[in-house]
Amino acid sequence: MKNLIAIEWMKLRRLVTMKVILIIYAITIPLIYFGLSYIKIGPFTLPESMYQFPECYNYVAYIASWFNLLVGVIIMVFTSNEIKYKTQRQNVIDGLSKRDVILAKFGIVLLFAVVVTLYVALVGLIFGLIYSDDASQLFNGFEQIGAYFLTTLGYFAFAFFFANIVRMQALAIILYIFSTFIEGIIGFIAAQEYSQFFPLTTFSNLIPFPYVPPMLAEMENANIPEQFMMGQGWSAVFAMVYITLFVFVSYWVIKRRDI
Amino acid sequence: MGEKVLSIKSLSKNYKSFAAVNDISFDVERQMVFGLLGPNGSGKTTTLGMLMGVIRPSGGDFSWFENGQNDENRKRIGSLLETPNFYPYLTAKQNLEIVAKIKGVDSPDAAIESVLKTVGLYDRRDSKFRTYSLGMKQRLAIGSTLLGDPEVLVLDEPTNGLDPQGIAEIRELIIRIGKSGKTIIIASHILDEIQKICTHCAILRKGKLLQVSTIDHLIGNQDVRLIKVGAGDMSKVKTIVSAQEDFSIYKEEEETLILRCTKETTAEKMNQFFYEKGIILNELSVFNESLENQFLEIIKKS
Repeated sequence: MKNLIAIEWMKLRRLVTMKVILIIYAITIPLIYFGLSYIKIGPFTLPESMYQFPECYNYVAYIASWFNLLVGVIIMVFTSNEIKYKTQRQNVIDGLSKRDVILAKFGIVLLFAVVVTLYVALVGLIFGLIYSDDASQLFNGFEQIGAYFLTTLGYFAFAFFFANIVRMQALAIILYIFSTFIEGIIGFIAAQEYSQFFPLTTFSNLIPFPYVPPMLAEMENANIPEQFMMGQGWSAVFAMVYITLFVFVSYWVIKRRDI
Repeated sequence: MGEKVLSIKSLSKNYKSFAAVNDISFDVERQMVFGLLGPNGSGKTTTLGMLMGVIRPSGGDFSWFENGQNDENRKRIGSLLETPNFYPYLTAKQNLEIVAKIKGVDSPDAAIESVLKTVGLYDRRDSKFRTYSLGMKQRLAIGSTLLGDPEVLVLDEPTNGLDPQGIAEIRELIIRIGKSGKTIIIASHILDEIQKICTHCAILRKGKLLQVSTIDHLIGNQDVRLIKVGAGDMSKVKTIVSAQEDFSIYKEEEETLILRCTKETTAEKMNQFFYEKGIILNELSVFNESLENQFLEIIKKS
């Protein structure tokens, strides 16, 4: 496995797309997080506790989750490049097994999820340390970081799966970028009650919007009819099922296909 | 019998109802330079694709190094199929580093330097692959197959896209590697190429295997000699020949006949024979059958 990751890294480290996207990601997230306190939506402002433990983790994870799709584009480009350049084929000719091909890419998916999650945790930690009075609360709310890890892993695994199934790079990237909307539309038209179980919705439900103004919360409680809503725990279970499915279906498809 | 490097049994590949490769069986032994000959679309690349693990066979079996279809086998084979496949944003050297890592080559830096020099790309080692010309890409692909000094080379149309000088260089290189005792399997539709390079040859047509033999057997016909004769009155020549037991008509051409004779028959003897029969030859030569003619014969017969 170490050897496989080393091979992938040799291909990845000089990919310009990766560098550009990671730089955008790294700069934008703390900037937006910091800028949030200046935003007013009608009568609502976000509470000051957004920068303090334990809520800082939830906020930063929520903001970062909007950029998952962007980082997923790296996975998408990286994976579909191998098909476009026929290097996936050449790697197998040179001696990798098809299982190695999938395993190596999933290794990179995992690595990206870990790196991105660590960065988000760091941003949360720094803001928390600066704005909190009580630093003993350091790891309070840290479970949101775990949820963020699963969300990113989910989006990346989806990108990886998609690149392997839709073998035309341009089409795959466009469909991937619009996949959240497409899933939303399908859910809205066909199966509103079940849309919470759809993969991308599951991933995004893992990180709930951190702040619901008291007034709105009351309204929601009054208006929403009794209906099962998946909590964070169940979303996590479903997310893991989806991630596993994406990887195994990718393997199954590549194993059977002439590449 | 030498040691078997590759053994193929009833290998087939169907695309829907179309049989691209149809029940092919043959063996390749160590140190053979084995040619896979056939027109475009005869199933050469599909066959090699199956052998190299990228196309799933519809039926049949094959085994490398008497070790089945184990993925590890391919690390002992240097292979170029169809097009050179590399990462365009990486340099030649970086691309070869990846191949070396996959194959688990010992001391990769020295190995990479050596193959880049062999294919004449050492000066351009730090240029990105996408800046290469077609011929350079092809040479890099051939260089890549040599990485780690593999026991077997599998080459599909290796001189594709090269200029005449490049073609000559690569053929030279392949002949040299073959003589060094390596096993080479080479697919080509260029008969001349197979004839110049190979020791053995399989002829494919429409996915079917027509013939497997040594090149010498195919073009040599050691126990007979072909002699081409021409004269003013060809009908008389024909009558004389048909009455003769020592030789027969191998092939009729417009103004000449190609005669199949015993090995001892020289052009001189032939000339004398016809002179004694009252015929003055205006054309007389020992005829060397080329693979091309044999190939066309075999294709015609099938």
